[in-house]
Amino acid sequence: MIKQTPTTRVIQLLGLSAFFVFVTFPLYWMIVTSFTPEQDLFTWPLRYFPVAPTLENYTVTLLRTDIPRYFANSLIVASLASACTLTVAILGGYALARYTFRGKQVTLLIFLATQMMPIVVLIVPLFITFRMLGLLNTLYSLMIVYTVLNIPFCTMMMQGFFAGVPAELEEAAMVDGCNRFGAIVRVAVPLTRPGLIATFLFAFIGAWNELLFAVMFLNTDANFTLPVGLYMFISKYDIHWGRMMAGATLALIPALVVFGFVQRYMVRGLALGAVKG
Amino acid sequence: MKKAEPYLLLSPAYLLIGGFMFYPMITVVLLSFRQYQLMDPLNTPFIGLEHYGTMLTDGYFWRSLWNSVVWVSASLFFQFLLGFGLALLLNSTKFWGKGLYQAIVFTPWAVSGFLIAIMWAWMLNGEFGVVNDMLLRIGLIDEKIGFLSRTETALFACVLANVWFGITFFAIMLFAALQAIPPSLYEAADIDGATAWQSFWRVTAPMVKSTIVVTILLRAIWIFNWADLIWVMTKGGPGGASQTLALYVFQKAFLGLDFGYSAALGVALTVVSLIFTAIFLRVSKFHSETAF
Amino acid sequence: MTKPFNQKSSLSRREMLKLTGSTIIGAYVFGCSGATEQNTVTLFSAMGDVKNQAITKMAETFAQLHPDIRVEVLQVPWDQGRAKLITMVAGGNPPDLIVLTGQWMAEFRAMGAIDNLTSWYQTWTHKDAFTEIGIRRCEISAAIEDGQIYGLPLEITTRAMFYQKKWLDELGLEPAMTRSEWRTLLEKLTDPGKNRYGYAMRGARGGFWTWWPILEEFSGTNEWFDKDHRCIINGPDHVAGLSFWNDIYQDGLSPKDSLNWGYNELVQAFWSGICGCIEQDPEVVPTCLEHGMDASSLITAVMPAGPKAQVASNDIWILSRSSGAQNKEATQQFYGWVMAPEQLIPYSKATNVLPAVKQGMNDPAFNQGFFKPFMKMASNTALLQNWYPSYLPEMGEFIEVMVTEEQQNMLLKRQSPQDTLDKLADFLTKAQKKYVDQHGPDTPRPA
Repeated sequence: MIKQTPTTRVIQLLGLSAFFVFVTFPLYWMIVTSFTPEQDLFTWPLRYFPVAPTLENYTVTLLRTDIPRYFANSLIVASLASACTLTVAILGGYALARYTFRGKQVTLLIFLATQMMPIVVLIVPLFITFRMLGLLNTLYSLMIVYTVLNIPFCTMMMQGFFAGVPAELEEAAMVDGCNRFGAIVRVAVPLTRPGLIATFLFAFIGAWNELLFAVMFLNTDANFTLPVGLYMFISKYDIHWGRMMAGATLALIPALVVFGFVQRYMVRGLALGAVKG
Repeated sequence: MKKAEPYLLLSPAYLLIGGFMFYPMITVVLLSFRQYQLMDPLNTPFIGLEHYGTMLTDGYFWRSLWNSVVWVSASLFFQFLLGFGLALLLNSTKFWGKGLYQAIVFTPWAVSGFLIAIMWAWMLNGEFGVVNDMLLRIGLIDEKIGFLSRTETALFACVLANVWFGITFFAIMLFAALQAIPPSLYEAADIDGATAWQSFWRVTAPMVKSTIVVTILLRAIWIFNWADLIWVMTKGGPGGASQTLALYVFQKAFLGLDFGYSAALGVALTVVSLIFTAIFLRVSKFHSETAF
Repeated sequence: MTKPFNQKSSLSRREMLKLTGSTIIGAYVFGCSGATEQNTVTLFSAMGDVKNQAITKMAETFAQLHPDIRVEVLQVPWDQGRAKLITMVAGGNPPDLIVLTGQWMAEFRAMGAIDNLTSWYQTWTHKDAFTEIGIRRCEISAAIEDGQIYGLPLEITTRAMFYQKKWLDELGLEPAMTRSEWRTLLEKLTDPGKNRYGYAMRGARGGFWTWWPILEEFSGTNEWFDKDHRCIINGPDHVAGLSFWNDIYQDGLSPKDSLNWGYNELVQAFWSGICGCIEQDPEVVPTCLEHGMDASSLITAVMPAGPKAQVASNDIWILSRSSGAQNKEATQQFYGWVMAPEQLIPYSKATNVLPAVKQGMNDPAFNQGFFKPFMKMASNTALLQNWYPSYLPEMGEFIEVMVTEEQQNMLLKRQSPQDTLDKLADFLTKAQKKYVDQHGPDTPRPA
């Protein structure tokens, strides 16, 4: 550890403040814009705090657009997709952590390879696939896509977490009569709880924020997710900055709340997973 | 039965990836060997490697590849360094409100790519952008700069937005890795009289090496494939200055309506990623037993 | 233009080859999975909020008259409208009705996505309701070809000049009638000290739509190819036109940042008081009014005339039936109803566009105030109609990507207007030759 002298302390605090400002300023600006009436946005010199703050952007966004419904759709899709991802990741991650088997390297390579093709080229083939399954314009199509996109990374995350849990405990449970599956569910998984949260969160945020597939797969605006709804604020002639920032702030709140609350566990979980014998 | 256990546990992953990922990917690869222009949809002859030949002489391909290299390296460089720096700071300091600080400073990861692009485009706006305002007030510049409309700065404006987002990823992952280092190792180093610098290289670095390798690799691949941010911020302009390979793939498909060539470009992109991965893993002497 | 579906050509293997994307295959073989109910008609509209709402209202009215047919308006973010439509067509799940711009028509027809409506049209009550210019624009955009009807105009949009009236009044100026007057006007309006610029240049995507009409004004013609199918847009008059446009930027009559301005930015620059003049569609009028302009600060005028011609930049939104439409009868019922003047005129009023029907021409709503110059531009048949060869498959990428890049290179002083046009002409000569080799020497020409 670095010895704490007053100079180092000052440097550290400067560094921390710099990061803080850098990270939060754009968010601050976004929020300020959301409370600024449209005509005040285009004045020079700029004002760093709205002179006549207004709630109009929020009221219009909440009442006159379908943002609340999009919000609900996003919540459903993201939650279910993450839950599926987590389940698959638990099973797969356990396998990768506990076993040595011939397909292991190949599996990891496949996981990596799936991240390497730009999703843009995959849109039409997937569109056709979902059309044939009759799932176009449903939230199910997005759930499946988001699950599939997140499986590789999340499985690797879970692999790390399971590696951090000694195998003896499961062995002991199996000696006592559990089968392997029971050992996984009753012994290994509970020990990785921070890791579960971390993985779930990672998948959730990815699904919450995805835009391109949502635009391509969803037709009726009753099914739109939040990113698509916000995208609609860009029209041919006008970007409704105030309203878009209001929508963006609203979109951010749950992500922030959950994330802020949970990131502590996430870090702890990742720390556990990083332990190597 | 026991031998099959790992495969059984991995079967949901295999099935889902196989059906919804691999199958489309193979479709794309096969398509890259055909001509498929949307405006001539019934005429899709097999043309072998012709698209790949075209690619080699396609000036836009090489230019966008170069832009991609700049895009990925610049973004990674700053994200990693700053992210690592933040992680080190968090790891080595205690202060009141640290939990809250942590929660706030990690938030960019929760913001959608589209919003990041919009926010930064607005902040870097040449007429009403706050970055211009601040630089003018500090006196660093004399007149407003159109960051997104100058060829020299357009791509780096996108890099800036990317860095803002990506610092979080590295900060979280590396912070966690740092937290996992047993303090006893540091105490031992202290007893041996190591300086801060030495204890960093002898204790810290090796312990987080595998995390570093994996995070850099993954992030590099993700950035390489990321077209949303640039599309919304600059649409690849001005004059193609910020057109990366991922963006070129998108343009060829949806603007040029040439799905065959676009598929070939997608495959080329994948191949570049594979080569990069192979080289990177070899160079960093990484053994993929555990990822984290 | 739709070719007959030939099973033997290259469709020998399963799904992978269904990527040939012909909606014929999609509709007939797989169209029923995930299909809509018997009497639901889907309408694709990427026209933006106001118009989407207007169409949705019309759909609701129709539903009251015909309870057995439900018209569902698919709303799409404008920025990805075309990409989404392409995905739907290529993916075999096209909508029943499509609202397209004139620019997209040739492409989608070539994809086999548009149905031929001629036989229905012959017996339609309102078939003579459309104006001459409306029909001409349909012909120009390949919605009508050789008497075959592929789509009809929902509306006409046209360009007129918008000026900051207050600035004009301050300087005692009037809107310009010729391009040279206009250039002088821009110089007088520009005052960097007050952060005022004469013109909002569209340097990025879509700039083509501002400078191409100027080339037509300077050359007096809207032809692109000579009789040997060589592209002529790099002739001396055309170069003079492009130089005229280029000089506006080089001489500082537009902000430096306008190099990267698209639609949104330049409109914003106008109503936020930075630029004195833009040319735009009538729909921008309410945008300006929303942002605080009114009759004392905004004035519209007809486009100035160039040395050799005065050009009308008209475009139309076309309603077409998709060749993959599920329930053609119900679809056509709605089509016939919505395209009647009784529906189109209120629609145009609600959305600030001009109707393409004769009945609407004398309607006072379109002939007063801000809309007067637009109506003049849309109804004067003596004006040269802007044209471009939309039948070439390369045109989409040409306009969206290549032209944008070349024009920006020119604005950045990396190449001259002559070089720019040489490059573009070269590209198009090759494209034209390819087309002629495939389809013969009778290429579509300006009406």
